[in-house]
Amino acid sequence: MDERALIAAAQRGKVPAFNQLVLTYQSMVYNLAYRILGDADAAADASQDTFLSAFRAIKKFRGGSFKAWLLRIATNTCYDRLRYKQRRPTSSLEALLVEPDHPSSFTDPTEGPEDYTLRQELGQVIQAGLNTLPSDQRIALVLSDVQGLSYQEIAEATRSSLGTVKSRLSRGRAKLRDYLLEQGELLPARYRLRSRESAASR
Amino acid sequence: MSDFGKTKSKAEHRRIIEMLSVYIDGELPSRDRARVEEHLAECADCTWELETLRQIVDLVGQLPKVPGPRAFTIHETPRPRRIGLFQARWAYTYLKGATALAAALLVLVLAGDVLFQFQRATTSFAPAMAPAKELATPAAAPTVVAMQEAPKVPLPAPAATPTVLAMQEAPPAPTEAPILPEEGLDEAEGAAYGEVTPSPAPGEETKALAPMPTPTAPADRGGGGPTVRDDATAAPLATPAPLVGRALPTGTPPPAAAMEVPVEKEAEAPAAPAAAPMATPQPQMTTTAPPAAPLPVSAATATPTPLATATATVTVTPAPTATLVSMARAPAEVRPTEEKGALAGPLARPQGPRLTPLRVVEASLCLLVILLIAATLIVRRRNET
Repeated sequence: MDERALIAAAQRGKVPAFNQLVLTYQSMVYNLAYRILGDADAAADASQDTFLSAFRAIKKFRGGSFKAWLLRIATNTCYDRLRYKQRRPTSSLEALLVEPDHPSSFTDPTEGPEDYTLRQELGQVIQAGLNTLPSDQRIALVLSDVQGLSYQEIAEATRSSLGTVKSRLSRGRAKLRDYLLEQGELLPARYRLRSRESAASR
Repeated sequence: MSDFGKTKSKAEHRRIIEMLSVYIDGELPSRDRARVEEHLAECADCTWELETLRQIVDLVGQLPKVPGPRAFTIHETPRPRRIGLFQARWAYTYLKGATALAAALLVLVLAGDVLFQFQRATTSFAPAMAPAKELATPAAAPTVVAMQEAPKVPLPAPAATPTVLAMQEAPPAPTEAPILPEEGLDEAEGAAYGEVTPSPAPGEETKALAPMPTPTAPADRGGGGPTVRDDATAAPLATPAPLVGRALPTGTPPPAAAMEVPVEKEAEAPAAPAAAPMATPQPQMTTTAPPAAPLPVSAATATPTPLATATATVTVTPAPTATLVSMARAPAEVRPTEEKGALAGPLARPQGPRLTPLRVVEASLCLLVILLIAATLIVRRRNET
């Protein structure tokens, strides 16, 4: 069954068909939520909520990119969670903590254990940097640079204009860079950024 | 950094920096792209900016994929589409509001009702009555005085009524009275003139037995005879039928039943059936009908078996069930009772036997509140899942 057929079946209320779609996209949704929320448990909850909402709303899906539609729902779910968190300062502090022991999967089977470790470290530092961004910028950055969405798709997912998306992305990237520059020594040497001064002195 | 010398290039520099991110994504229109590249060629600062930004995009893109902790498949069977009302998110909010509103209204109506009754009771009867009312729960209404003419006063002061009648002549009796159920009220009402006076004193069997109906002379009775203003009429209420008295001691429900039967016969319009059920069970209470000299108001005054007598029926079920004095045939006598009823009305009629508009409103409000609460809970549950 191709995606369109699955969607059609799901729209008729077929749960198994919908679950096929869930299996296809759950990693994407979970990773999005994880990068935006910076917390594994919250990301899992947000993912489950996303699929539940998607199932309830799937009758309203009118074609187009199912992935973008799903990411839009996931983004909104994350937004809601962030807003909820903001009202509870205790949990927003938690979000700043990086979970050092969160295991990542090998995306590249040829990657050796050293590279794997490097990437783990890198992931932690970057996630910590992401957590320092304002949520709007973080969401734009994740949607763009983690999920690979186009500006247009991001604008739709976040219900903002193209100009807003560009500006958030631009600021988010610059801010993340500044963070990583500050944390230079935390980055694996291979990924270390060249400072402005060293660039000028070149 | 030579650009900073000129204002124009400074502004240009800033604009270029803003465009770098978009430039990286290849989303710049060709004209802007040329502009950026031109600027980059002569601005080391912007070159560094571009480089590092590219690195960031690259790094973020390299973020390892995080494995999900579990499958997020849906287990629930698809719910059949609910009625729009139940599905809508706002439904819960609105239902909550509606429930609160209905509940508040109900409380208001009830409070008003009680207050009104209380006022009436206090005005018409001595303070003694007031307390009785408070205690009185609708179900408990012991003595019911069914006054066809007094129907207007559908006040649920069950306990009070009996006491009222008794009070006039025998203050002690009333206290016990409240317990009596309002059985037979309906019928009594139907009969129009039947009064039910529960004989309160439980345990005093001797008295119960003793009660001989002394038809006339309310005064004679002494304590027991509820002498309503109209002496003649008053008698019926207070007098516990001798028969009843005997039956009661044993505490067997049958007496009540017996009572009912006669009532029905006489009663032409059994209006309020509600009271009946309660009364039967309570017969155990032995009416202390000491005062109990039942005064059959009706023409056939001292007939020992009031029930049986069709004409003047004064049935006094002492303790358990309120004594019904149904005067089907003696309207004249009834009248006096009516007056009593008027006085006692508020107190006596505690029970809901009367279906007044207010009662109906209260009942329907109550129902509405219950329904709303149920609906609210259901909707909340659905929203949660």
